[in-house]
Amino acid sequence: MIEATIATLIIAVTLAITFIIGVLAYRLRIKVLRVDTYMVAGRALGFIVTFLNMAAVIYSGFAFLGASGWAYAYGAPVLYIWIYGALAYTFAFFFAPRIWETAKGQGLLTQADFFMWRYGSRLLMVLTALVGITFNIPYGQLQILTTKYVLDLSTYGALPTLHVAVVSFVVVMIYVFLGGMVSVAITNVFLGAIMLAAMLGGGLSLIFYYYGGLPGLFAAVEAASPKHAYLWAAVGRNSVQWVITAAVGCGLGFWVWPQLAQMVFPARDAKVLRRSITMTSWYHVLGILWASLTGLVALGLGMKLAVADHAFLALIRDTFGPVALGFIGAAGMAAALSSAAGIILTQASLLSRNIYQGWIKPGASEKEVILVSRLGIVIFTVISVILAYTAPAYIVYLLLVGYTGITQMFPGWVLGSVWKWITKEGVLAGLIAGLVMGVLTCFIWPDYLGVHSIIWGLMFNLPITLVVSRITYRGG
Amino acid sequence: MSRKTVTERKFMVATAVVWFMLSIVLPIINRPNVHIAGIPLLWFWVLIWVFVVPVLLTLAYYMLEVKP
Repeated sequence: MIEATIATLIIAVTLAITFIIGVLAYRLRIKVLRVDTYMVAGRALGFIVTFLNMAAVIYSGFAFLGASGWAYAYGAPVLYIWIYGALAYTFAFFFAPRIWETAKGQGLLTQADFFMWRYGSRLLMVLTALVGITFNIPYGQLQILTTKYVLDLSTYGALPTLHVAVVSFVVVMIYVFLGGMVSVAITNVFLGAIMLAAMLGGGLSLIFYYYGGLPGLFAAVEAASPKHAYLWAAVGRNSVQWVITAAVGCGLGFWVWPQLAQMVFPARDAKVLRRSITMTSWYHVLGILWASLTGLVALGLGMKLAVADHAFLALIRDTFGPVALGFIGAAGMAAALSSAAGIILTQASLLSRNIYQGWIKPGASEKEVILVSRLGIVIFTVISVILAYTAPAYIVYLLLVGYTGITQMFPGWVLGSVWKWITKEGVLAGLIAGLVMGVLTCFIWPDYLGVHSIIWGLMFNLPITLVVSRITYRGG
Repeated sequence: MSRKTVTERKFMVATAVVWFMLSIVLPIINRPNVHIAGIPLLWFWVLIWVFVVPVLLTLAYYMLEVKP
């Protein structure tokens, strides 16, 4: 019981500090609440805040639980996570400053704003806003469930963890409701920092404690399960072609997620943004790599886990006791809730800015847009909580197709910002074809021939976008 | 074309090489029972190349934004 009290206390204090920072950010940093302050922090964020805000939103509970769980369950295919992150940061280094300049010059606040400005199409704007909102719905719910898993282990089963996870989620949404991006970004400095410390410190300490380094770890893995050390020849999730297509697909789709677009816009200038992306690439190799390797540590030790995603926390609990578990658990909760904050704020921004102001009531005032944003935060919080309790089966399907669906906006978002001859007709036709193909290769023929469904979607989406754009482009 | 643009293009080429190595070449290098410094071949090279990315971006940031 004393172990549960210690770990729970550390997690509760972390949550309390987060809440205080979030509310103080709102009270002290916001003089006049405007729409651009609420959605993109007035494009005034410096390097440290931009960097850690980006990292905290990118690395969700998956970084803590999912990556190590993947390594434990599958072994070498987890390398696709290492690879796609690295690919995504090199891409963003060149792409993000370009999109930031456009957003600053045109006063864009959301990703769907870009589609309206670039293609002059309200239909495309509303469609991309709906795609962004819909495919993010399961991710809000997932963060609550991740928090629950963290609490399940951290509290040694002493608390009703789903209720506590929901309360933690609602506490975070209170400061998101009040201060919008300002509160999200400033709290994420705190949360992003403890996440990195936990992933690097927890991962390295476990590897060195048990095996004295990577050679010892891999010797133990190969002794316990040789197939985990390399990719299997068979077609499927563990095949070479799956890792290649998953890494390329996720690398391309990474910056298409609307919440990541919205983490780019608040930077003070393009130089700050580039510096932040460079540092986030360091965050990737110092954080998730070592967190994911803890799955191999568990495998090498011969741990029998009922839930693979428990690997990291179970190891910390069994090795270093309740104080370490409290800190790592707090960081796991931080990862889930910081991503949830970014996701819910983005969904609310798409709702108010693009569905309400862009479509339903074009003449809406700033005050109205902020009001609808706040209403959106309440709505999406309630939806996430209901889904966390009911966990309907269809939400799993939405989650499976999420990355594939979002990535189908790649041609319109990226190619459209580079080539002026990409047209709305081309983007719309490609988007529809890509979504249909993505859904088919997710559910009817899952990852057909071992090729990830993102790539199947893009194989239809890209040529259709290019050909239709060429046909419909009229110059000027 | 400005010197900064030329430098940026060089880094874009370097990035393309990184993409090709990480996403195509390395997953194909997948021979079991071959190790470098006690680490399986595939893991070793992926580990090295993912560390190349932040080093490359740090260098690019320095040459494009700090000392252009």
